[in-house]
Parts: sequence; structure tokens; C-alpha cells
Amino acid sequence: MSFLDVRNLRKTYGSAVALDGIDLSIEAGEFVTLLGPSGSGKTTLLMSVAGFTKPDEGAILLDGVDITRVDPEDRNFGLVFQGYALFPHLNVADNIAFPLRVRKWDKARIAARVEEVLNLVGLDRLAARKPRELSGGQQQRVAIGRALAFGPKILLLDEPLSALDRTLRDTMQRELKRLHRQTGVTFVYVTHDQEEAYAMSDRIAVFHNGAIVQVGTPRDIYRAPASRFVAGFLGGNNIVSARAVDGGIELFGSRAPMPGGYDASRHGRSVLMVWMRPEDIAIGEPQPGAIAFPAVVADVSFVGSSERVTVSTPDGQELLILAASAMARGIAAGGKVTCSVLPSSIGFLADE
Amino acid sequence: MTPRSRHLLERALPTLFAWLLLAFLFVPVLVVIPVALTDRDYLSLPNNGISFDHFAALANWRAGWMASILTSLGIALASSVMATAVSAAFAIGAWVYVGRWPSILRVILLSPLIVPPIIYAVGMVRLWSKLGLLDTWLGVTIVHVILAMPLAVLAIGASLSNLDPRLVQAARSLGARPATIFGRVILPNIVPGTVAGAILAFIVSWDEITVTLFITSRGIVTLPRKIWTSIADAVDPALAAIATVMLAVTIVGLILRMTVWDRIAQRRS
Repeated sequence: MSFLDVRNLRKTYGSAVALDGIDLSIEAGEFVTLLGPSGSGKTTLLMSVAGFTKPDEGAILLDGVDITRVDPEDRNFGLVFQGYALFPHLNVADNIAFPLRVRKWDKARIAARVEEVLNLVGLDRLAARKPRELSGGQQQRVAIGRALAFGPKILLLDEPLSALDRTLRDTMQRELKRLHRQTGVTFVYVTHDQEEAYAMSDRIAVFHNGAIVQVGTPRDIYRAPASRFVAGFLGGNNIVSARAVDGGIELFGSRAPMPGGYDASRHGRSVLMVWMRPEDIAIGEPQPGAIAFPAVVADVSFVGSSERVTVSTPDGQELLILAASAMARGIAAGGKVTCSVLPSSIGFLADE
Repeated sequence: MTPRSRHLLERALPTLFAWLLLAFLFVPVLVVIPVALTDRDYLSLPNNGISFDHFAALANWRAGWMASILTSLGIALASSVMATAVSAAFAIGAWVYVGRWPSILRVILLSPLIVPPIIYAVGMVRLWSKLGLLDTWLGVTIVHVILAMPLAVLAIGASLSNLDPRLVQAARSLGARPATIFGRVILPNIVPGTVAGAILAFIVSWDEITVTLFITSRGIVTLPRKIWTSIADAVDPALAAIATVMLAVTIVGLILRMTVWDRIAQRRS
């Protein structure tokens, strides 16, 4: 039994299935991210845990107690919204004090706790400001502080950083990790941004069409995506077809020994779907043991730390390569190049 | 074109036109003041000096003006409170539960703005005579509440439209129950719209005449009804006196609104 147990949760809206039998266990103090494209069910699950969405079937257990029918106001979970939802008529300190006044804490205790939370989220100088006088990042700190003020068992965050610009998002990611460490509260975080998920989570649950398709640590999911959807959704992997021929592999028209990890019963016997990362494909002199193939450059674009090179392979597939700028020197659209990929960088996808 | 004629065309003429328009709006209203001060006993301008007799007549209880003012005041206050309460309840509900039903209900609630009052009046006479509500306080107040609700719903709805409906979810997740959410989250944010709605509802009831004429006779004599009958019966200058009093009250109210209210608003922010 875990701290928070979601068991076979189902929710439909008319004919649309929002949650299709979700099972998920979360341990106390974990930082779990629900990751998926919009409409994949991640927010519906978060709102079910918060108590605002009533599931059609299944149960949510907290410390073994069924809370599926408990009202949101009795769950004692903090909730942080995408649009912050701060009380516009209250200043920062009063926003943070709101859950404490609702709980009828005495004045001295409220004042002490508000002070503590203001320090925690770094807003001690702005206590008297109204929400409209704050920047987006500051408003988000107020929302997080307010949701943490009453000592919730779980903090639920619904895409809290999506309205912020990139640099502020990076800062807030570090802030959230620090708050997670400092408070020890269990964080359940919803996002569609895989970098955000990688940067903060202990574990990630990947959502697709109302179901969880993979659960694991960021590194596990990055290294071993369980399906074509996960491989494609995370990190813009190349997903290409290859063939199994005479115990070997035919990739982009080149033959090579079959790489490890291939299982004919799971991955198919003739046509195979494989994935490889754009940064794992080399241009130029192949490394020893790599599978090499000729290609024609279709497009090159400079993205700062590297060049994004699109090539077409002899068997007519398109491949995206992220090449270090030095390696890509002298490459231009229309040019012929030799590409190579190590067998260990090739992942097989289940035959679907 | 000489600079002079150019100035005339671009500045002087539009200015003159603007003042004329303002005069057109205001002069007919101001005419009641000299008429109220007439020394004759029919509607006319003063002849041999001014007289305050007609103002004194207003205060005479037997003339019925005071009774009508109190009747109108009572009905307008009751209608305003009820219309505001019901409209606020509807507007908040429609704001929280977005969907088809709130928008259908909204159209029904706003229909008194569209249906001509005279047609509405005919319907109300038939209904009220069946229910025995003709010429009663309750009958008039209910009708005024219905007529005032569209404006109150619009005013309160406007102030809610600037508010994020997820504030309710946020408050619930923080442990607040409905009464707390209403009192500490929603109400403080819609005070301006609610006050505006209450004032508009009061005004609707205060000067409602069409439907009131149909559903009252001798029992309930509101001020508009009293004015209407006294114009039909005789041209009593007391009419102009009451109009002058109402004008004065309105102007004082406007001045207060522009000075005191703004100062309060400044102090609060």
C-alpha cells in the first residue's frame, strides 16, 4: 500500500474517454509528474485527486483510506492553477492567510505562519502588494505559498509554469525542487513539457488517450521508451522503419548484425520500427562498429549549441540529426554525407 | 481660407454644436423650476413674482403627494433589494456553472427588456386578477422585481465577468465552504456591480408607470401614478414642484457620487 493509490479510475464525458482505467501509486514525499499532450487525461486525473472531478469508476486511496467521495474542501490538498487564481481583493499576506483563517487558527499563529511562508517562497518584501501589482513569477510564488500554508498532505500543480517565459520557467523549476526538498510534501505535477518533467521529477507517468503508457524515472523513460508514442513524444526522437533480414538488420539500405535488445516475438519478424536520438547519429567518418549509410542533406539550421541537419536516406526516409557545430562544418543542403549510428543507440518498438 | 474662418470651422462651430446639444438635453428639464415657483394655480411661468405655495402643498398630507412618495420609496426599496438578491444569486450560479442552462435562463431573465411593457401589462392584469394580486403591495413589488432584474443581472454579471471562476475551486481546495466563499471571495469582488445593479433596480421601480397603471387602482398609488392622474385631472403646479424636488435630489446624489465616492475609492486602493 502506498501513500496515494489510484485504482482503476475511469471517467467519460459523453462518448469521450478522459480516464481509461488509471492505476498509479505515489509514495509519501515523491515528486511525480503526469506528462502528456493536451487531452491525454493528465489534468482530469489531477482534478480527480483534488476532488473536483468525480470519477465514474475506481477509487482513490490516501494512506489506505478511500477518499473518492470526499469533498475537495475536506481533502487538505494544496492546488496550484495555471492561471494562479489568486484572490484579487486580498494582498499577498492575506492570500496566504486565507486557508489559515478558514481553519480558524488564532491570530498569532496565523501571523507567524504567514511570515514563515513568505520567507519560504521569497516574498517577504511584497507582503502588502495586491496580486495585480505582481509579475507572473511573483504571482505564482504567492499561489504556491498559499497552497502550502496550511501544511497540505499533497501539493497538486496544474501546469503552473506554462504562462511564464523561458528563463523564469528555469528559475521556478529550481524553486519548486527546493520547495519540494525543504517541505517534504508530496508533489503531483501536471505538464506537457518533457524538459520540465525531466528536470524536477522523481518519477514520470506518461499519459496518452486517457491511459498511462509508461511510468518510470526520467532517465528510464529517456533511455527506454516503452512505445512508439513515448519515443516520439519525448525529445523528438527519430522513428524509422528497418527490416530483419537473415538474422541481421537492414537499416537505410545498409546491412549489419542485429543489435542487442531485439526480440522477434515482441518487435516483429520482418518490418521493424526503431527509434534513435537525433544527437546519437554522427556525420562523417564512422566510429568502429557503427552502422554507416550514405545520405543527402535536405536542410541545415543553426540552433546555437549545434546544427539541426535533416537528411534523406537511400531508402527514402527522413532523419533528423543534431550535430555539434564543429562536426557539421562544410555541410550544406544538397550535399552528400556519410552518417552512422552505433547499434547500442538503436531502440526497438513493440509491434503495434 | 483665412485662419479666422478656419478657426470658426474647426473649433467654434463644433463647440457651439456641442453646447446646443447639451442645452437641448437640459433646458426642458430646467423649465420645471420656474414653473414650480409660479404664483398661479395652474401650470404656467411666474406672473407677479414667485411663490413657494406649491412646495408647501407637497408637504400637506391630504394632497396625497407624501403618501405616494412613501409608497414609491417602499416599493422601490423592496424591489431593489429583492431584484439584487435574486440577480446576484443567478449571476453567481451562471458564472460558476458554465453551460447551456445558464444561457437559456439568462435570455428568459432579460426578456422584460425586449417585451414591450404594454404587452407585459396586459398579461399581468389577467394573471394578477386570477391570483387576487391586483392593486396590492405584493403584486406591484413582484412586477417591479421582474422588470428590474435584467439591469441588475447585467450589472452584476459585468463585474463577475472580470473574475476568474477558478477562484471558487481555489477557495474550496484551501478548505473554504460555500458561505465563506460567497462572503470572503465573491462578494468583495462584485460590490461595485452589485451596488450599480441595486441603484438601477431602484430607478426602474421608482419611475415605472406602464404596468403599474394597469395593475393598480385606488389602493396603491405610486408617485408616477399620482403624477399621471394629476396631469389627467388638472394641471396642478405641484407637479412641477415635485419634479423640482426630484431633480434636486438627483443632482445632490450625482455630486456626492462624483466627490465622496471617488475619495473613498482612492483611499481604499
